[in-house]
Amino acid sequence: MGQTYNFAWDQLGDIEEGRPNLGNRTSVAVYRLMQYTMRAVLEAEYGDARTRELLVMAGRLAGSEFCKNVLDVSLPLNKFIAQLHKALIDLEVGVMRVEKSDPENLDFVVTVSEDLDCSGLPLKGVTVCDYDEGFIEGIFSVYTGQSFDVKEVDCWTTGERTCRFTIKKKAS
Amino acid sequence: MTENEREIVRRITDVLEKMASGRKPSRIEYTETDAPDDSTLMELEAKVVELNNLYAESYRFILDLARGKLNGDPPPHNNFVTPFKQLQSELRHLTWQIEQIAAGDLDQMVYFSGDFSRAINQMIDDLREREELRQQLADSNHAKDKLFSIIAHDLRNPFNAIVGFSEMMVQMVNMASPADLKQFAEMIHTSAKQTYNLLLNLLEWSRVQTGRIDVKPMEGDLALLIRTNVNISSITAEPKQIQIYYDGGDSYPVTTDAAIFNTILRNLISNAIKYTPERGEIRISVDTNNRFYYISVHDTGMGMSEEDVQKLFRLDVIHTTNGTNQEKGTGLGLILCKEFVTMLGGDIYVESEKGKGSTFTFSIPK
Ligand SMILES: [Zn+2]
Repeated sequence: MGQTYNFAWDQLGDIEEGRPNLGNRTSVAVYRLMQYTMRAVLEAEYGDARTRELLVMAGRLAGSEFCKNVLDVSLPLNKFIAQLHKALIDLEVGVMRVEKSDPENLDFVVTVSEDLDCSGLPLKGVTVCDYDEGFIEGIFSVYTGQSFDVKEVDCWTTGERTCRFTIKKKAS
Repeated sequence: MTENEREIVRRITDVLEKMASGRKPSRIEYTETDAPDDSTLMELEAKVVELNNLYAESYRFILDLARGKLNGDPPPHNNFVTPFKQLQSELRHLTWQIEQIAAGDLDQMVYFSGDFSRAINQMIDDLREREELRQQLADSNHAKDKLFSIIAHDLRNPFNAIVGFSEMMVQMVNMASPADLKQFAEMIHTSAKQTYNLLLNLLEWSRVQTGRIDVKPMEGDLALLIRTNVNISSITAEPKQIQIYYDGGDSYPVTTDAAIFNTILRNLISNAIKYTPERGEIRISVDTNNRFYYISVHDTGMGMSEEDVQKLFRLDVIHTTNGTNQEKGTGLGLILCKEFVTMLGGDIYVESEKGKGSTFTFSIPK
């Protein structure tokens, strides 16, 4: 918390101008190549636990920047969730569904199917969507102004067909 | 085969028969046989027991699901239940969506088994249509109520005056002096004019309500439009000796609907006249940026409190104050102005201070 990073949304550049022919898209394999090679190197350098932490931190930064730059945070909760659902489909990140929402206690369960990070990965017995955990946390934190604990409880890599995240307000 | 081995085979057969019978399975504990046995057979028994237990756990979860219990925790590390967890997830999400719909969120779209979602989505569409109709009905009811209250309160007063003074004229026509008769006639005329103005506004407003007004923008000159309105209004301002000045430039090219523009300006000027004391002045000015003209009508009248300003333009709060000469008003004029300005693509603002006068400014696109 409180850490500032040398990141700004405009570092993503002017894609339209930079890629007039290839455009704004790439393949999922390329995305995963980057993520899992990065992960492998981080694991070798810092170990499994630290790597997970770092990925969550990066995801959190991404989620809060995404929320600030792409989403309309003035919407009421149900409209905000509908907007997020649509944005994740439009950007082909995954199909997010709410299984449970308790807006009063800020306690949610969502699933993400056809997840960009993990759907189709080989079985590992442990969840791998650490970056997504942070991403969701970042979005919810910016939207509500509260801190959250986000945990991936099911993942493609634990044999499920959809990733499931529990989102709980951090006890202050 | 030793006795022990036969015992193991019997137990395995028991478990498999029970699984095949379709009866509700239950967990069993694996009991190791004490005597030394064929290790493969023991391994087989352990596997069969594990299989039975996985089956028993998944059976319970699936049964709960079939009975509509959506919040049961699926047994961990059990591949039998994977597709049913998916179903549980779909049903939970569906429940959440239906709850949202019930709470009035009609933007939900359901995707769950073709026919089911078609029916639900059709239902949501119908609900949305009904909700829109209900809203329209409520709005038009509101408009109707306002109309009745205006007719009841404000059309009655000038008519009372017309009826009263004309009756006096009829009764006194032979005994009254020409000066008296002239005074009666003038009173009747003032009231009739007031009624006529109100009637014009009512007609235009009802045309707005029923959507029968088309905006027909044409090229013209804003300065000319304003000057014409100033000339016409000066006649009305004469009895109170109020001067109306146009402070703007000579010419502003504009593309707008002149009839609608005139209604707006006429209403603002006649309001200004009403609330400005005798020998006061009204100034009209024009400001501009690259997209809009801002036309301001400034008076030296009685002004309004912040509270009263909030009530202007609102149909739900009938707000009217008598003029400086106790002229009657309905508040309808300003509501009409607001609707007309919106139709022209502009906005309307008020600045006012009690005792110091008011400035009404409206914008129209160039
Ligand atoms: Zn996952």
